[in-house]
Amino acid sequence: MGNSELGDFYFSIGDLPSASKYYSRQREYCTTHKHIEDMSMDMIRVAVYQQNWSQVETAMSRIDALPAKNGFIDPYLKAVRGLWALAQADFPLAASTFLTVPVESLLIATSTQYQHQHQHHPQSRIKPASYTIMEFLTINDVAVIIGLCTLASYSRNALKDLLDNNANFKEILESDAHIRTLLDSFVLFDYKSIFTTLDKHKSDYKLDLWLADHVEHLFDLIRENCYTQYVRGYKRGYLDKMASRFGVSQQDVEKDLIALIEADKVPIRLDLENKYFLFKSTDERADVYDHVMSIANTFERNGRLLLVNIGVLRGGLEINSKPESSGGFDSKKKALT
Amino acid sequence: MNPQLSFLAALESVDFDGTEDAVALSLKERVLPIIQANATTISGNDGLINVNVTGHLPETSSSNGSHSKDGARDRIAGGTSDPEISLVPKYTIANDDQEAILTRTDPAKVSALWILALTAKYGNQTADISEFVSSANRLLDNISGAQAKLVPEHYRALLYMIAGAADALDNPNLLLRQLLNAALSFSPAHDTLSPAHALFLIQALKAKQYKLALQLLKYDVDKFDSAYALTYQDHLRFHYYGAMVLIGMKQYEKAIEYLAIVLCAPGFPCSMVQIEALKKTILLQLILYGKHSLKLPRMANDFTSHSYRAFARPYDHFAVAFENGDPTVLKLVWNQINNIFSADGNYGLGLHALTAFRKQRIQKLRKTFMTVPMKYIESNDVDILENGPSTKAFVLAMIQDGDLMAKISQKSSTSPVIVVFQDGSITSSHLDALEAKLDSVRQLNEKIAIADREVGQSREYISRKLQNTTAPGGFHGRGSGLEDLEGYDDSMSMMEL
Repeated sequence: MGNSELGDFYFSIGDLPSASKYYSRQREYCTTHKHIEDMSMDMIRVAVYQQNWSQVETAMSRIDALPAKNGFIDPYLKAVRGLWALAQADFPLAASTFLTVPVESLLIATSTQYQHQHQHHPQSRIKPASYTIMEFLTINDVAVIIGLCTLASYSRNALKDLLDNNANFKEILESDAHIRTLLDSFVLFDYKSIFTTLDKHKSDYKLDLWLADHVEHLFDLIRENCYTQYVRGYKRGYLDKMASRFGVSQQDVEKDLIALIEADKVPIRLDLENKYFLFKSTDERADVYDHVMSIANTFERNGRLLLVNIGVLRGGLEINSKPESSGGFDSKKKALT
Repeated sequence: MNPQLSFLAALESVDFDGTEDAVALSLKERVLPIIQANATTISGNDGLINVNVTGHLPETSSSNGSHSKDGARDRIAGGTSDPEISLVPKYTIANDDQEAILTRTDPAKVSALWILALTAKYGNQTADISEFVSSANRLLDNISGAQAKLVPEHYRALLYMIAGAADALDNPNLLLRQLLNAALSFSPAHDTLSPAHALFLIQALKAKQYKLALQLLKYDVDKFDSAYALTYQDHLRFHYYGAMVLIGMKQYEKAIEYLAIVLCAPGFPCSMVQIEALKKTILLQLILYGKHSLKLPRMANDFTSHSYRAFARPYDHFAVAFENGDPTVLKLVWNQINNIFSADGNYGLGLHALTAFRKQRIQKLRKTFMTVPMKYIESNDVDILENGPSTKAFVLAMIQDGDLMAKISQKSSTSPVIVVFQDGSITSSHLDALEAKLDSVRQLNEKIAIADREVGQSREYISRKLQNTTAPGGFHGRGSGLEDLEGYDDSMSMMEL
């Protein structure tokens, strides 16, 4: 207990390393699951402030290993898990995790209610203004993170389904209109307006504590996703039209498409003479032929090796460090024959 | 009784109209004992031409390096650090017998006796080479493989004497066809390794007679017996030199297979031939596939494979730079290590790898483009050594050689040149190739089944199997082993060892 209070003290004065040290010392005095839970929550809170994500991961897995968890901390843990995924640049996981955070837990009134419930729990320690998502994230932040991550990683159909059927997400989106606009533009194939909007808000994203390091990467992924979605619908598409749809020059489109083709992200080939792209149709017959020949060649290669090695061993011609003497060659039939 | 007459008299009783094996057996039982009774035992290398492996081996014809006669770039694989293995016959026949054989018998009928006679008569260093060559020519044109197996040490000695004569006359083409005939006639199916195999390939490489060498390499060798005066070096060298011939003929895939046989050769420790084989394998993999495999084939000995890596480190560095795709880095690495390639005799292969690097960059464009202006290719083209043809000429050469499925198109003399990539399609020739491959796989499968059965019936396998299945506290079946083996169990196979 003393360690825990020392940790609280150092946390309150902003000495995060000391706070982390004392919280971790509590480990050996934990006797019940609740102690472990409380200690882990303290560690998580300090680690998130320090952006020490490995410690966050360790503490979360410690809580996950408990047989019974406090349901009140679940939204908090989900939000922290989402931040952890964002820090690893795992944008699909970040998006899907944040989507599971209930919108109520992102509102101030609810966090106060959680605190009162916490106070009445007979075995808990009273923790004023702790375990609230609001400490790290506002509902706006969550909307922006979800919006950008889904734009970077979800297909059009998946995003459409999200917008139509996920009530929780719809409520979160109400806090930030421009994210709603972005997602609608993606669903409606209005790529030019996506990039215009993104450019307009880029400086805001770069000022965000959690997004700042990932803005360029996210923008690249969003562009890639848009290109992929665009070419998916075409058997043949013209580069000039594509350039005008994206609001960029034709040379930029060519350069981006070449990079995507070389990374095997889009199944197309470019005709630079007539300036169009063509969907790459698969020749299944040729693929089967290549596959069969490859298997046959591998079998032949290994079979030959096996036969030769059997012959060498039976004939007594394995490599050895003792050369035959110059006085004569004695035949050494091995016991194999 | 005059010993000379007695062996000639014994010859009269041999039925030369029988099969080759029957004739050989008759000679072995009736004639050879008489000759051997009159022979002189040899101790040491007394009076015989050195039958050890000597001489230098040139690079393949793909090399651009010079081939000086004293072999500045030449290198023999396996001759520097592998122990020299000297195989000297145990006896030499009497002079009277020599003369009688060479003057009164036909080499086509009594090859074994001629082998004994030639090694005895021409074994000393002052022998008349031209006379020897003429006699050897008569013998090898009609040699019987079954009879050569009767006197394996002398046969081996004779072959090396021929190679020595070729070196002395500085004429690697000397009796080359006859050596090929000797190698092929050793067994009817041409699948048994003989002392002539590796030696013929060495001479063929020196003479740059790759097409002739291919006549031997079209048969797969998978039967070996140390009783035929063979050592592990014959096996390794045959496959290594065979790979060099295939590299010279640009049959790189088959060359890699031959080198894999060298790399996977059983035994301990590793041979220098295997290290040289690994170096060539790395370069060939880069040429063919654009990448090299860090793992050796599964059958390679784990311990020796670590040794290979230590010796082939510069090649690994080159391969990493190659796969990285950055021409600047590759050029830097090449400038640092091309002298090592040259010392190893792999300079030519290294140059091929650099050409392959340029080709593969152009071939990759096929994945991205259907048509592309030549200017675009020129802007991305890289000639590491900066002494190759222009991009357009290089692309044209690739198309003509079949390395690139494309056509060049130009609407008018002033319009830009466009390269149009083409897609392949399955034709009847593909189906024929598939049929041939399936036949080949079927035959290989049958051979493996036969080998598996033979090994499964061998004494060593059975005793090991019995040991493995022994119940604790006792061994069942020792002493009653083979005689109880009625009804061989087909499910027992070497694969279970």
